[in-house]
Amino acid sequence: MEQITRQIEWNVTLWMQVFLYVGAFAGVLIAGWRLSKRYRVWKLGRSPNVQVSIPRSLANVLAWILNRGKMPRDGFASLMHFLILWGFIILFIGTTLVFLEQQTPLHFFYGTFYLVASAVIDLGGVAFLLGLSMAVYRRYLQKKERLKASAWVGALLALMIAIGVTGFLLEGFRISVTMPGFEKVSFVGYGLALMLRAGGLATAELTRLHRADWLLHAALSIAFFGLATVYFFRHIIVSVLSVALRPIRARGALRPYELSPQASPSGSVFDMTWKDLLDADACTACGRCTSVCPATTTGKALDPRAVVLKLSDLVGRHASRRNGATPSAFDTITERELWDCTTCGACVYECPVDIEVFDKIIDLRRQLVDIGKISTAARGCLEGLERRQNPWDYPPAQRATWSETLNLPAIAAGKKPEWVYWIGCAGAFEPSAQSISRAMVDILRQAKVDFVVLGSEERCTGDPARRMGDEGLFQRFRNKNLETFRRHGVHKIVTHCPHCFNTFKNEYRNGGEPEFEVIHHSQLLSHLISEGKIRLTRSAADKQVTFHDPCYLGRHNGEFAAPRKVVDSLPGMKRVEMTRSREKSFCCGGGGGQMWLESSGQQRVENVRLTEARQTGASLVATACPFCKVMLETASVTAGRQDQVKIKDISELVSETMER
Amino acid sequence: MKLAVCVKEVLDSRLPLQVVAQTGEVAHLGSERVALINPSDRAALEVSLILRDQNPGSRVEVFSACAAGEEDALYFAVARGADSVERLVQNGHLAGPPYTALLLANRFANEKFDLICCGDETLDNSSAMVGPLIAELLDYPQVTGVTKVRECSRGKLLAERSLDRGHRELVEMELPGVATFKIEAAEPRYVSVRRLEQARRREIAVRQLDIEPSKSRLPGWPGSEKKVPPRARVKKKFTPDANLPPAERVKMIMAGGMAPQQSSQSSAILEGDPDYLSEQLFRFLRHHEFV
Repeated sequence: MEQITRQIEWNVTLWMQVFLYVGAFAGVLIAGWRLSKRYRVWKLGRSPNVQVSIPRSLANVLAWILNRGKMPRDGFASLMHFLILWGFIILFIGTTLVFLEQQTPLHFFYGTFYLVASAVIDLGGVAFLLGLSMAVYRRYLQKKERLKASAWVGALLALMIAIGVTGFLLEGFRISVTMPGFEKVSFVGYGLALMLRAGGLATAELTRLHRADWLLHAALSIAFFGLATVYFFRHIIVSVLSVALRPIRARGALRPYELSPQASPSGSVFDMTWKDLLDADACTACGRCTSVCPATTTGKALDPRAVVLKLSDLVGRHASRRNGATPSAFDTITERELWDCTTCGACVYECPVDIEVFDKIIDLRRQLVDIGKISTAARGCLEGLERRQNPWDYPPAQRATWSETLNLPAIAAGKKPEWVYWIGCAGAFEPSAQSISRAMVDILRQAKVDFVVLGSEERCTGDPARRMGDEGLFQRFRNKNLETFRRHGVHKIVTHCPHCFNTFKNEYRNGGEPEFEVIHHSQLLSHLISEGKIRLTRSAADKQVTFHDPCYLGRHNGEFAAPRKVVDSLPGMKRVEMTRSREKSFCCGGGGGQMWLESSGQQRVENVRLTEARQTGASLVATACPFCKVMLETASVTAGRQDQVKIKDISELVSETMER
Repeated sequence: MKLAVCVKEVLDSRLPLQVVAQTGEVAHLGSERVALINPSDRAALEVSLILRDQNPGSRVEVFSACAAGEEDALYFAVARGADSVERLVQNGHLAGPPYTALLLANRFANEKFDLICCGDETLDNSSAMVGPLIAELLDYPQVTGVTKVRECSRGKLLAERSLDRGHRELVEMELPGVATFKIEAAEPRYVSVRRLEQARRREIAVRQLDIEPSKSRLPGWPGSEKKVPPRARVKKKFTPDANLPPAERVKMIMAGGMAPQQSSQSSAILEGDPDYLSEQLFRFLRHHEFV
């Protein structure tokens, strides 16, 4: 019986082998050299002060390769990527096996192992080509809008397809000459061999063709290695790094800005951290961030992918320059782009390779603020914050005016109540948010919750200052507030504002343990309802309600259940979901300082969201954030729809339907 | 080019300030600070910083004649990028704009500056004297109320200054000279808290000058004389003439009390699209020389 194996490097002469090894070595060298040039540019960035944990990084990468990351959210792309990646991995392992069999004393490529390996490798090849065909379909037939057509991408796809096809042909030619029966397991190669035989080609011709195809396959593979670090191929390597270095900090926390006191940033791209520059190179230009961005989709200047790619371009320009001037991020990224961001975090949530997209935007804003180049509106807001400690620029003495008739329990020395109810600037100054504060006081009293308020001792948490780029102002607010909390022994805070909630929860720790517990009012309300402390019995006028997820409660802090539980407890009301809800919720347009800035572009974000809410058919939009309420209300008034759709906070709804 | 900027700190009128009656001091009421750089001085500073950046090799030096503890304007200037700051003090206790001008002029007599920039007037005294007085004491040419610098090079300043009724005058001045700026002369840049705090750590140079007011030709200043506050204007409440027909009265109320005078069109109700309205409004303003 013939032995089940094949002659490695059958029909391959010595000079062909030399060509392959020298070529492959050169290819890897070129790729490595190109990557090292970019690495040298990354290193010029600031230190990002990331905690690198190797087990965590490995777990990140492993989960990512096994397709358990963010990929499955786009089914087609996920399958496509899975097939290409695993096809490639299998083929790579197959080639390595062949190399080991031939070049080392190990001999294992026989019998059952050979049969199984051959079948699996053929399967890998099929997966590889199938995945690539899906990619071609998506880009060139389906013409998915967010994918940019580029000659480079087409060429690289063609190269990979050619590698796959020549590989199968190679197998076909070999089998068509030797024709062992057991090679039926290499089902593609065997099929091709049968076809070649049926085509009436002579053995000598097939042998010649095999040799030619071998050289072609080798040359293409060498080209692949050589190009493995150019353009979007770079992501094969760099994305692994960006996934491995995914930040450990809480999702809602903005990263600290660590400019030394002496530093004087002038918009140099190297005032970004090295992680940012690496991130930029990890971008696959897939455009998912752009397709969900509230700024881009309403026709504003900002396109998050473009920002990342522009940074990558600057890295590239510096890498190819011998010793030119330091490139500035503001050479290509305009101020308008940076000020359009609402910090909703949809881009970061969507990015399949864990690029910190909006963090870069905020860091660039911070640079603009530090050199003082900001719009009059932004300057007015920040100066108002600094002077009057609230972003609306109301006199601080008026902070407690809304509650004058309510006779609220104020904090005092010696008193140790369970909860501090944090009103926040919106709840204190903004008329349509004051109704939220009143409703909450009503509920807390009805449920007999032991609470106090800080009254005029409250000041902004620093959220708008931080997101508008003045980190120093944020830190001042943080220190002052922590001082107030310590003085009064505050240990439990409830607030109806997700921005205050997020800042307290994620940004007041400063790396240490939290000094106090903070919960959002949706969590407290849901708890009070399930405990039976408040009972919702009075039926409301509306029959259908839709819930708008505030970004800083939902996407940034993962709280989707509590507000929905509250909404579901409302008697006689049915909850309907909008097309985009929960993690995929669309911003109201008020975050990141946009509440106080001028909107640009064709559409206003809040109008788009209100239209979406109205499409559910609900006559009531419930939300759990004063900013969302104000923005959506504005949209409904400017659209003349205030009679048709009501915008209310969940606390107002609870207060209206609560049994007294 | 060497540029000097004279600045002063003023109370921040947007803060909820309280003056303690007994001592005359200003209570902070929980805010970080009570003073800020006088807005038109801030514009003067901004203009000179822009001029510095346009003319390589230039310097901006900032001066304030003030007591210790009133250096907020100087810290602001440091944070904003001034090359040097200096606090001027005098022997003796002479207060008021003429002495401030005398002190500053003395300083500039020792060291020549190409352009001395001042704010047009301050929020508190609003005397608008210091800039012009410096120019007189130094025998320099001066231009006041500058709203826009067109050009400043080769020993000349070309600037627009504001006149009544929104008119502008284009003037050219030989340097060295003194210019005082209106708030609108430059859109000031933001100064981040980090920069301001960094600036506050800097020590400010103090220069003591001996001045002899009697030797200079100074105009008088009220000083401790009793000030007469302007009389409060009598508020007139508008009531439409009861003899007019109702439609006319409604028109008058809608026009905010601007009664239509016989034979002259001093008020009118306009309706139409914004383009039409803005054109009509502009014509009206032009006609009455508001713009």
